[in-house]
Amino acid sequence: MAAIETLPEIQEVAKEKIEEAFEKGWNVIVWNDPINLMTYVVFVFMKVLAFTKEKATKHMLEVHQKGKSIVATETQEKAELYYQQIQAHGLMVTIEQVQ
Amino acid sequence: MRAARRKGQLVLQFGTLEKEILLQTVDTILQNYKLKPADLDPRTAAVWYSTRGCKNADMSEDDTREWVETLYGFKGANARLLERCCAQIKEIEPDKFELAIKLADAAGLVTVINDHRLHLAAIHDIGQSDMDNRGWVDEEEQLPSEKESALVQIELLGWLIEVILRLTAPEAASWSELLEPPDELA
Repeated sequence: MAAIETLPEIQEVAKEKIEEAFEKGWNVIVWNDPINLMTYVVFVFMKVLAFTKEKATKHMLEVHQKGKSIVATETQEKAELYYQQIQAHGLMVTIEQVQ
Repeated sequence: MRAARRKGQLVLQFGTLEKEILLQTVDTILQNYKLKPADLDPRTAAVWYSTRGCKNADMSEDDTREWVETLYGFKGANARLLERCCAQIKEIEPDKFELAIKLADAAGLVTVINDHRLHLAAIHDIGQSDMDNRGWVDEEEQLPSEKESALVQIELLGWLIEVILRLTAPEAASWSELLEPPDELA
């Protein structure tokens, strides 16, 4: 069977796309809100992000005191997964590309 | 209401009046869960199905729609859990009811209760100042009765979440033990 030849430019674009997909260039940010309980936020961080109690508490306090906390920096796919799971638990969450 | 952990289950016991209030609340939650995001009160939809992060991530309209549909699917799973739990309420003696839930389901139940708190806050426009000042409202500045009632419900449901988490997720519930104790007053 003959090998499929690919133009160098297409190879370059594909390589960039693959690198971008695997680059941990997306922040998952949880924002403060007045309704979610501090205990519940710790619980969600431990459940969804598999944080230890210490790490979950640190991020929860950061959300509470500073208004937001970057809870993960991941590939776009994984960041979107975390975003959806945290949102499904009722926390205010966004994702954004690392500058 | 009393809560305990027994033989790998979370057991809630309550009287007739508490049961009626519980079932009314469950009915409201189920109605909201079953409504499609576009048919839900926009204030609740803005919280439950917020797409702020989708916009930040430059998601396409199709991807955002799919995203909201997945979230709606999660709410459907929560609704089925809630219906399953309610079907298990048993009268164990006159004016005493019991609901035994698998520990694995308790986490879902907590999220359901929390969703209802978020819904109440959204439709009654309850914000930080209302939550901060609860219990300290001046008689002359009394909140409208519906808002006051919603605040009481949010408080009670918050207490229930704390109780359930203490029994089913003690690690998370004891986070405050990590804080340094305040200096003793001179």
